Amino acid sequence: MSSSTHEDRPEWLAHFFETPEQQFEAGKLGMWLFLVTEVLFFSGLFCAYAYYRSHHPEMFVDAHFFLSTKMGAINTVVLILSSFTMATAVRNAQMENRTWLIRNLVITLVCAFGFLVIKAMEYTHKFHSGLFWGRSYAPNEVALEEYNTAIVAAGREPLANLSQLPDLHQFFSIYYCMTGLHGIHVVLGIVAIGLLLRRAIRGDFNRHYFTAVDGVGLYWHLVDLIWIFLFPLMYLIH
Amino acid sequence: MDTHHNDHGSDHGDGSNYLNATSGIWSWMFTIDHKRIGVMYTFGTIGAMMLGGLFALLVRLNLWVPDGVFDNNTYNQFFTLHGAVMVFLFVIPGIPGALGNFVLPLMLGAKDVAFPKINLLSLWLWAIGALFFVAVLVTGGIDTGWTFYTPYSVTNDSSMVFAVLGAFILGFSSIFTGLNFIVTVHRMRPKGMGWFNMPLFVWGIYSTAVIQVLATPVLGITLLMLAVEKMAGLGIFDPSLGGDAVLFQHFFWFYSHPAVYIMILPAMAIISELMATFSRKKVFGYTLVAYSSIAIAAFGFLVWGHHMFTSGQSAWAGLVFSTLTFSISIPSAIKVFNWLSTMYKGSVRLDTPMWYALAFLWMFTIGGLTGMFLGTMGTDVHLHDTYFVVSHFHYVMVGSIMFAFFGGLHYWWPKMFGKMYNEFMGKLGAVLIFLGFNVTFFPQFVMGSRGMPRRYANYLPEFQELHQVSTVGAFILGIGVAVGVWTLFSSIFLGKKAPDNPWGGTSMEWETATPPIEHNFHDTPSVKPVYDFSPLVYNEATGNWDRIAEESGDNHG
Amino acid sequence: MNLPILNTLASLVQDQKVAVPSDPTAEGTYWFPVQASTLAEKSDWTFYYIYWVSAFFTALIVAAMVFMAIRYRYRKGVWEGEASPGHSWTLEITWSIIPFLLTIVMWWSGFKSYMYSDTVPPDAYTIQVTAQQWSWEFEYPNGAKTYKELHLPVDTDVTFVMKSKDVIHGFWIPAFRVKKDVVPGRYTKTWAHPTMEGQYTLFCTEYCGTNHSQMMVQVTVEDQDSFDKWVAAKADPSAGLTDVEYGKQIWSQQCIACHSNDGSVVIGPSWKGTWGTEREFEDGSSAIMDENYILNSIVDPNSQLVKGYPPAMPPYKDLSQDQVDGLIAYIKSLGN
Repeated sequence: MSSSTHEDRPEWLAHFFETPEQQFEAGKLGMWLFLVTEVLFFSGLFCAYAYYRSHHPEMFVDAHFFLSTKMGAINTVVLILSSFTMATAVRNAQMENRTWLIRNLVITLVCAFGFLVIKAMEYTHKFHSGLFWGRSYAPNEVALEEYNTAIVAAGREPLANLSQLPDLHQFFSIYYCMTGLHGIHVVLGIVAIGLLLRRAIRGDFNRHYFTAVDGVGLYWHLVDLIWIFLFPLMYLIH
Repeated sequence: MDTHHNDHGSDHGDGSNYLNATSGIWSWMFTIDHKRIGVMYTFGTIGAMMLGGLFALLVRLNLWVPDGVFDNNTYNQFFTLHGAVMVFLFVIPGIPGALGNFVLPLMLGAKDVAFPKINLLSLWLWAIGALFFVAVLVTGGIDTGWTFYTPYSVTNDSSMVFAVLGAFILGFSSIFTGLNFIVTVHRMRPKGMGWFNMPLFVWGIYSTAVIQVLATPVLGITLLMLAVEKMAGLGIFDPSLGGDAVLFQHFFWFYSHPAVYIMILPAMAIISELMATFSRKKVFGYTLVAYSSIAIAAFGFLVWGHHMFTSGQSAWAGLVFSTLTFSISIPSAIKVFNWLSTMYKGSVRLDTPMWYALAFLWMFTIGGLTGMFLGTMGTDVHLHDTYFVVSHFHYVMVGSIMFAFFGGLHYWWPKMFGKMYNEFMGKLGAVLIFLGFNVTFFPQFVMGSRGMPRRYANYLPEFQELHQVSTVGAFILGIGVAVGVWTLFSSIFLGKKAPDNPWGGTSMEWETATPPIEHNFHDTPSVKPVYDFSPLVYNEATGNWDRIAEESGDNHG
Repeated sequence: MNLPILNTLASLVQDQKVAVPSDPTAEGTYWFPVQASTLAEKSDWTFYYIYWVSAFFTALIVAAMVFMAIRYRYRKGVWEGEASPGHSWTLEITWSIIPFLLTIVMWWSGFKSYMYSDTVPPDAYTIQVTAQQWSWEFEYPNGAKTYKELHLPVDTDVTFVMKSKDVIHGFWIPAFRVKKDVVPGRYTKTWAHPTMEGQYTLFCTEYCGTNHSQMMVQVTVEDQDSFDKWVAAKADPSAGLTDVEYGKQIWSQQCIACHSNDGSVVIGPSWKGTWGTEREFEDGSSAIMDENYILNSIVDPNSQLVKGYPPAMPPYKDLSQDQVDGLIAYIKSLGN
């Protein structure tokens, strides 16, 4: 095999790769493998969810009275939009359209932040109601009121007092774990997209080299996809 | 060029190699050179092995007398820390991190792995994970056993969270290493090296990497849930909070069984190389040995319930797990028989690495066969959680994996550091280790079936004699390990300069300089048929195996 | 083989002496204790089958290895092995099929003996087993309860219905070859048909904490008549005992794992000289030890946690009035 001389190598081609194609293919395969590990990582929680839902189906039905389907739906739309802008950004990088690459990355970031803001609102609302995880689960009068409002709307009799509220601590444990872990991945995605933005502004990407944009894009799509599974499993149980 | 060694990777004439090309601690801490990373893993994992070994000696010391030498809680911490340090800091990361990193790119004629920076990240994560275990030691320790069974692990007072988070971080180190190796093998092979022209070491490391990538994330989420259960009362594994204690076992063993294949496949990978080089012959049944590695990796995911036959899981689930467990015995047996057949009509050289390889064949046979007793449901009922199990897995983890690791270290050490170790000392270490190991662990089979439970700080007096024999063996093993490690380490300073190919290996790492230059090769060596020993001739004067030029001429680029 | 210095060290650092049940009946084999149940024979058969197959193959492999290392040893000038086939389908199939067939026997025989041990006979004599850190409780159908000993009638099916009060434990009687985990939050079951009178040992076999290795119980198998007499006597454990003696008996069965009667600290406070004294608690409050204090300590121990001790005691809500009276009397007798 002939050696590659140092002079005619583009600066973005790492010294241990023979050709740009090799580098790109390696990067892509690496990112797909990483996504497989992420799916397996979340799968443990999905297994736990399945196990508990099959053992306590009523708990999951009761719990959904505490979740705002509207907020969840907005978040779903926000993330899908961000996936669209991210995918477009990859195309922009490939077509060397730096302006739109930057714009789309920014919109993706805004959506991601928006998602987190809505999530934060949901979480604080639950904290006010005393709806914590596991041992800390301690619903208060606020929770009782909210629950009664919801069940009356569904045609049932309201509960007389707090002690009649069903014990949902396991549901909330799984809820916080799954949405929390997902949220952490959103934050990590924000960091990654932020770094991409910096490189985009610097002009690092061109039609031969946009691997990083492609890779982060794939990651972001997975984050979105996981939410698309989480949303019905948590919010749309009847 | 005729009978001189190739200079595909000879040094620049100024004696510079990857070890001395740059200096200073930062050049090591921030290196992206797979060889330096491999060296750091070597020293790190050997250090962990010594620490784990120290705990082992304390465990065996306690068992000298039936009433114990230390108090129960201290003993319980010793066996827990021995297991956790050995499994997470030594056996799982050891061979892939140390030898996989160093050798794999060289064997593929590549200049590095696919993602060198992620490789460095893997190393740092290993180090951080190690620090978490140090934190466990100084903040009160853990006594749950390395298996962290609930609800004991979430209801007792200990530094469990540090240990669990440490293992979590180490898990990511392992995942990234696996990911790196998969991409390297897929995308960085030289033209002409098809899958069935790769050394079997690569097949082994690749199969390991597949498991690392697929199984470890499940451990990750299990540990995370365990930590949250402990800190916040999640209610998933603790029955008093509505959880299920046996569910933890399913989650835990879903990773931890494939994990043992993460441990053994790299060891088998080394043995393939040693059997070939020291029999001067291609591994018999090469294709089937390669497929067996993949088969073991795949089936390994399906058998976790064989750790749980007495847990209360259904008998039918048990039957499925038992059946699949037997399915793994076939590819394992195929490998052993093929390695043996490699010696047939070979030219067997009994240098130190080969002593370890042959010892491996014997020890792995015992380790593997005693697994049959445990995979068989009926006998497992009696033997589960006894010293029989302890002995079985030590025959595999120490007798097989550690022996293979030492064999591989003695094999590649000259390439890594450019020095030959003292052959007599190498063999002495091997003998002491072999003797010490068997004296320690063979009696434990008998103790187990006779009624000695595991994880016991105290025991009935009728077991004292066998315990004492086992303890004596442990100290001999400790001395042997010390001799082996000393032999290797001291060679760096005291050893004779090593030639490029002291053993006559056929893979590409033997065609570079010893130690290799920073970028491994000036020009990638030409791809030759794998395990073709015909062009190699031993040169008495230099101690090197010279490669006779092919008719078509060497490719010097 | 006793090194004096190690024994000295041992006596300095050890806490509780091992309570050693009397030696189990001797005369097992090299590998096993006696076969004292119907399961043992089946289980051992499978073991010995695997054992002989394993011994054969180990010997075969090692002999082949040694033979070839010598016969084909390196000779100067022989730079590589002789030309020989690198592969043989015949061999591969042979050495796959033969082991496979041998393992089928293992697999099937193991499954059968497992199903035998797992299929609990309906309507058998049932003993309720409760495991806790770090002791056992056995309750017989007539209401008798024992802690440090288990008696069983010979030649009868006995079922064990088991649960744990805290963490996972394991129920193992090696002489019977019977083992099953005891899990909190659910019942697990196993059974045995003892065939030989004698004394055996029950071990806890799933690691459960500090004194995991000190939960051994003596198992006595005896003829039906003797067993019936024994279990009838046990139904009224306080028969013939004074309050203090009864209390001492309960202490030695259920409390001794954590509370001493001689001033030494095991896990919880010693009972010696505590009656009538002022007890200081973690939260700063205090109380005099009287009858009500003792009752509260038994049923809700962590509500008045003595300063400097861990909250390790589980509540004992099932003690009868007589038992509580006995304990109070015993504690009083230990001085004030």
